[in-house]
Amino acid sequence: MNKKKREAVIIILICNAILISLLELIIPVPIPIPGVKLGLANIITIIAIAFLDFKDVLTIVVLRCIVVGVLSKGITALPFSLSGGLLSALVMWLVFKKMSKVFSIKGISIIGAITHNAAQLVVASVILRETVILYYLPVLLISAIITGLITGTISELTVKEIKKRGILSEFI
Amino acid sequence: MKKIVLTLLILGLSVFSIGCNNGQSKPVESTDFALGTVIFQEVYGDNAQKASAQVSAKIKDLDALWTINSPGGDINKLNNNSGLGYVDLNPETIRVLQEARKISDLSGGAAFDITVAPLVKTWGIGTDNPQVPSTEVVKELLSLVNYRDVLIDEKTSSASLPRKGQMVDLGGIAKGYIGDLAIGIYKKNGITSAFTNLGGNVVALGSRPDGNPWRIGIQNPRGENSELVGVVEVTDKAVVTSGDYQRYFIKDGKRYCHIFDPRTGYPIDSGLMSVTIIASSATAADGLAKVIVLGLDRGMDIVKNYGQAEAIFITNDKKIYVTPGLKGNFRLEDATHEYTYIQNG
Amino acid sequence: MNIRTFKTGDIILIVSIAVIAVLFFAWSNYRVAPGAQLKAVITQDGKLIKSINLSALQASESVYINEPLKQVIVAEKGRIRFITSTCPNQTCVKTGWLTKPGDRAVCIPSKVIITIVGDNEQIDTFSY
Repeated sequence: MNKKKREAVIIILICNAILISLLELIIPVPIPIPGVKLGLANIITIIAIAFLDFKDVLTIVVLRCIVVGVLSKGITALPFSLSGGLLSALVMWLVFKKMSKVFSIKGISIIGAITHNAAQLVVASVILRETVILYYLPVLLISAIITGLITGTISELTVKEIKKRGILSEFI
Repeated sequence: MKKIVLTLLILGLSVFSIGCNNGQSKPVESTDFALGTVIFQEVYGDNAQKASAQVSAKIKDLDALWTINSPGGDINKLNNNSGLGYVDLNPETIRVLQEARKISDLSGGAAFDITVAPLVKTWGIGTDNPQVPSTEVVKELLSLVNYRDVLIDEKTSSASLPRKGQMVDLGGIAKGYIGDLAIGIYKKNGITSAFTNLGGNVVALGSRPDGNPWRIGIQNPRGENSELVGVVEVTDKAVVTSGDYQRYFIKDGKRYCHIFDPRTGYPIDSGLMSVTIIASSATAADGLAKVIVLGLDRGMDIVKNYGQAEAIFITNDKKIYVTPGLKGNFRLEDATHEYTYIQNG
Repeated sequence: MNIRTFKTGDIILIVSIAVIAVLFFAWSNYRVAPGAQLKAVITQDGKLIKSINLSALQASESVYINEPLKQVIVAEKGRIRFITSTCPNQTCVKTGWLTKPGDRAVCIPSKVIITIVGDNEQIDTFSY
């Protein structure tokens, strides 16, 4: 396996994840609730899960969270995005490896979005010492279905296209 | 099942709202920003709208006349002409200067002195850049402080500050004085139930519309904003609190509050966190609350010598000393259970 | 989106999550005791800007003040506070959450006041 090419692919994915996250900040969110967002960077995580090792997926998620955190929300938001990003990556990876027969990439993406939101809520509750925040849960669950479907569909199409063209075939 | 719950709910709510409307007519509530703080009024009765508007207008007028935070007005005129002889002033300004003098006399200027302004300005507590001036600077400024220097000529409605650099600040008395004027305006309009809260200085007219006394909450000096330490019930009284918590800054681990000791030129450190005075005259209550400078024993003595006031003293070790006249009118409402109540005398 | 591209798990997942969300929503709505109404009133220079029923809030609600200072007020179920303000001393932000009838946060520079009004006010006003 070509180590250099693998590293190049990881870097490209990280850059894409960062860019997509930053682009997403420009897109206005119709519901003014903290935590509700498209989560387009999830697309990159799913591509990484489909073609790379779990270690590489973690690298991509962690670096993306740190860079985006520093550039946009500030370091204080880091525990939120890291906990959400890492946990959802872990769960999506497990589901992708073990239950691909039951769930399509769309389903996996929804699961990832739900995990992401749930992890953020728990961390927020701990940091703010507030359980009131759990009232957001229904809203965040519904929004996770919608945003998960959107990012999942995009991811599915992208993964299919990459497979069809055999761009990353040597990793599989 | 659902229908039953809904019916009960609607019934409950309607009983609830009837219960509310059964009381007295709604008050006129108004808010003004003046004297560097917020002023609330709650006025009941037929002329409430008119009376509260008149009070608001009066407050705005006097604020413009007495402010030292923006240009213009009598006090700036007086201060700018320190060392230059008499200046003509509004009769209302002359009256408040005379009142200030009377209150200063209660403690011989030890607790309350309107000429402490040069120190207040240099320390800058409550502003963006507070500082601890050197002992030399404090000493120099302290030489300018003496309320007896404010020369008042009632006949020509003029006053003077004899030495250059002397300054007057009515911050310690204006709210009380205006509170008394507000009560006068309410009465003139036939109001029998009202209160005004001038940045924490409460002046109540009559009783609540339901006939019960007004319930005035006393701020927990180390609690959050609007956290109670007790409640005092009053009719036709002013309730004024001076506390070390309202404005302060911390430097090198030491807490400097906005109240100055006119004898030393430094922020107070008297063992008291707050003093609340309950009196018929808001001007007197405002002035007497400054005995926080003197500490528990001397402060209590001055309140007792004045004779027409009750007081609540809260010490640094969280003991609450209450004058005997407040028995039955003050109750501890301390959710933290850190304070102890002590009947004084 | 073609329905045939979904797998069985996807459909079950979406439906069950939606059901959970609706149930949770209904439960948290039900928990609000009727009658215990907490209302926040936001005024600027004595004029009413907004009145919010805090008891009935499900999600957080923000109120933006743009003049003369930029300020953000956030209301959540049962509580409200200044979150940010461009005023110099930040007293309004430091006041923190208001939760009980009679609680009040004041920003003197912008003349904005948040007050919580309710039915069981223990006191009429505060001396401070």
